[in-house]
Amino acid sequence: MISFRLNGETVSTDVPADTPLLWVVREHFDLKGSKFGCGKGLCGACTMHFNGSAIRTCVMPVAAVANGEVTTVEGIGQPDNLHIVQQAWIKHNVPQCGYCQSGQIMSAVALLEQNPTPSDEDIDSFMSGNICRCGTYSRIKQAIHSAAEASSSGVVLFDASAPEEATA
Amino acid sequence: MSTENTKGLNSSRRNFLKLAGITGGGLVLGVSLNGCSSAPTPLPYGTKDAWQPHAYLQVTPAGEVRFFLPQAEMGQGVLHGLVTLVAEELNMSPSVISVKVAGVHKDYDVPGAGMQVTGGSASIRTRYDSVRQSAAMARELLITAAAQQWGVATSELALVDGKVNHGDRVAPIGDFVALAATLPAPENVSVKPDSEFRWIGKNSGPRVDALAKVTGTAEFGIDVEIPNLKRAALKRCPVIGGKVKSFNAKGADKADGVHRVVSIYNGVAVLADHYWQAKKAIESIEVEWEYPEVLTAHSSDDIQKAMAEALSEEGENSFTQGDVKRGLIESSSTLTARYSAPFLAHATMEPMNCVVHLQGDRAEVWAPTQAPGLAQQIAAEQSGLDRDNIQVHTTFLGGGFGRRAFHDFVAETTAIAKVVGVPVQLVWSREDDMQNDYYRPAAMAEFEAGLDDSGQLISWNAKRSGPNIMPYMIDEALGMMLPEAVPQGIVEWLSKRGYGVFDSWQIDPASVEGLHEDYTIANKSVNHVTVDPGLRCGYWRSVGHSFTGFFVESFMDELALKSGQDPLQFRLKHMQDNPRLKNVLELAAKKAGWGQPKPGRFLGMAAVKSFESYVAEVAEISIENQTLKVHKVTCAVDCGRVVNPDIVRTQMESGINYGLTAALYGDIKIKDGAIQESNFDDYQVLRMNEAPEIDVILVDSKEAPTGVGEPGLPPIAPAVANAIFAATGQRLRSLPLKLS
Repeated sequence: MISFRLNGETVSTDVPADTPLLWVVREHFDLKGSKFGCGKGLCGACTMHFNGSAIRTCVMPVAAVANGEVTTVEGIGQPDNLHIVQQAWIKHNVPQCGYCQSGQIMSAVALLEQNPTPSDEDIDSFMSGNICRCGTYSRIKQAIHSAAEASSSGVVLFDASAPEEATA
Repeated sequence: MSTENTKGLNSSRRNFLKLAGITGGGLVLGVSLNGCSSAPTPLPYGTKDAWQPHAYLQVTPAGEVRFFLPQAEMGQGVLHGLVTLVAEELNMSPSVISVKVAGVHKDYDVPGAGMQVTGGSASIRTRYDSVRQSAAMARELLITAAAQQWGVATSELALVDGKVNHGDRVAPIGDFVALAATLPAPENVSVKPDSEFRWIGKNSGPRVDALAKVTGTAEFGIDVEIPNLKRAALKRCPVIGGKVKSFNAKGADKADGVHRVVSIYNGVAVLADHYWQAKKAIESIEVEWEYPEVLTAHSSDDIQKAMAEALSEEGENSFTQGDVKRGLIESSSTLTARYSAPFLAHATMEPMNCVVHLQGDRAEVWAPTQAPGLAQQIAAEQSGLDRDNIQVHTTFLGGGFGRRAFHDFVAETTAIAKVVGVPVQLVWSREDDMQNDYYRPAAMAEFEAGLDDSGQLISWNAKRSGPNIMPYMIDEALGMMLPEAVPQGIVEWLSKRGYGVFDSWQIDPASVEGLHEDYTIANKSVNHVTVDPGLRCGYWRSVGHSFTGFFVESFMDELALKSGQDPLQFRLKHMQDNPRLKNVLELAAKKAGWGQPKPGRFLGMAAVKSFESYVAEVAEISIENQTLKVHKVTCAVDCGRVVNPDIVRTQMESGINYGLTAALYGDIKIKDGAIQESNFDDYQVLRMNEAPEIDVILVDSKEAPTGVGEPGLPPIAPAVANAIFAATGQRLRSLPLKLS
């Protein structure tokens, strides 16, 4: 039996120790926000946080997170309580198909926790492990800068309960 | 006079031509407004307690407006775009309209196309009028109902933000639904005049699908859950099309969580409680394969050689204007060049997957699909059920790019479900996905052009060799095109004969589109030679333009150099019949600072009309230590009336970045029929650190709206190749672009 904390709650599973964390979270704990993309840690769609660091969970055996703290996209913010990075994503119209964006957001949150004011080069270097086939990269970069600024100034970038008007 | 090849036209071919118009681009489709009656149409999801003025729309007594999205949302923003049209006519914010993905029904067919498909950058182009008209009709009926209920003139009423207003009197639209439902549909409805637009042409708030996509709650195919769902993984032949001769489960059937190991038409499947159990178990299975004869006999080198040799054949003529031979004789100088482009994978972020639940004589299919009617047809062929008894639920698509217009993953899942008798989810691995694609066809082309004394092109002779997409689409879609009375067995038999049926008809428009259209030249000719090694091909973002754009726009640069002219001026003097393309080229060149590159930077340009939209791009690059960097792309687009400016920008950005992967890296190699690439380590795609800054200029146009999902792609590879020439003098005529 392997136990760990998932988005703040203690969970246990009796799956084989080498089962990738991604599939345990998706199928056993029914959190579908984290995606399967490559199965080799090459694309970042499966990114979660383990004790605060971004990890590729499609290659992370569940045994490796025993007794640790795992956070998924569902754990960082919800529609009525969005994380500033999620707000910035909406503000900059980042998601297209959206499939990679949970992983992109989890990487961005981890980056900003380590480095609250990243440069373009810092972002390139940290985010290059996350592939987006829709090519939303330049907007991700802008959104990370916006989130960094908003975090320090306390500005709200998007409020789901107050829809915006059209702008020219 | 110009002539298009139209030999052997017959009645059934018209269906194929329509299909080509949608998925391959090019044909203008008529707009019809189906289902314009106040009687509810029996639709897949029923009407519940709502009033349904049109298949697209429901309004509930509580005032909820539901829009049934007839197109697939795969990133291109069609959901927000079409909801914006509804919002405009109902005069309410797009963000408060509920959106449900439409099921399969003739009322959701693309107007004029005879099927429901998302492709060819056609969604806005083909539905702009009908969606607006349906919502305008709903608006008129609600106002008429309110006028009757209140005993006032319709002209005194206004519908604003979900309420009907008469002076100080205000009531929600839901109050008028019951009466509106009894009123006859008006024969003519007027859509809002452009001057009153609140949402069209503006950035109408964040995309309405954005909130779900940043919180992980958007449901993709891979996320579907239904009771008692079992997971499957499938072991296929290393060469696509191979069949199982025999297999040894080697204990896979005894592995933890595994229920069954079963053989289907193209492989051996493991059914387990959980995906990881199934995935691990298939590894131990040993299979003896029956390899497909044709494809197994081919490898990349011999395919390249055959395509090159084919260029010395005359081939079939697809377009003639004037007299090319005479034009060449009269030319004061001529130039010949040969180009090539490889097979490519789509590599959508979400690997192929599907859920099928067979229940007696009925079935449900959940699929991320670009053509739910085809998914239904394929599931019918595999299950033996009637098409009408199969309900298809389209989820969000984790990327499409043309891959999800083909439904082998639905066929496999249905075949497994039929054997095991329980609900099944099949999930492909990345390796399955890379090695079982419908590939962008490889292509080669040879051009011969002649210039007169003044540097004007007077003759243009183009020939393309390579495989075609149409036969593989026919294999897939034949059942949709035949009357439903044709037994499935015959459909299946016919559908495996795509080539035999197709060859005698015509040249696939997708194989030659873009080879001559954009420039004014007196004498033109385009020929085609089919060379097909049997690797299945499919629609890949921008289809034929994905290679012909590179060929033509590289060759135009070579011709400019040959005649001692600036590439911009040379293009402009051949664009007198293409003013919208000329305009975007001038806009992009001016904004990019054409002729005045920054120190150490080099510029290259290209302009391509595709899918009725006009796009020009200027790439700014540097080359240091033999390393190419694309710093910036300036893009100008004319797609007619813009529904949402920021979504148009995102699609230009997307097409450019997707196209850069192909320009710099994409190359599918074949060895004895087997695809050699397997994952993102050996099939490199563009990453954050390589993505350029992109500056998009939108042309303010009142022309009819056209699509943006694909047209941003074709100019990027030639713009970069032309910039490489400016930097190094190296003319790279093959994709991907490799510096020597």
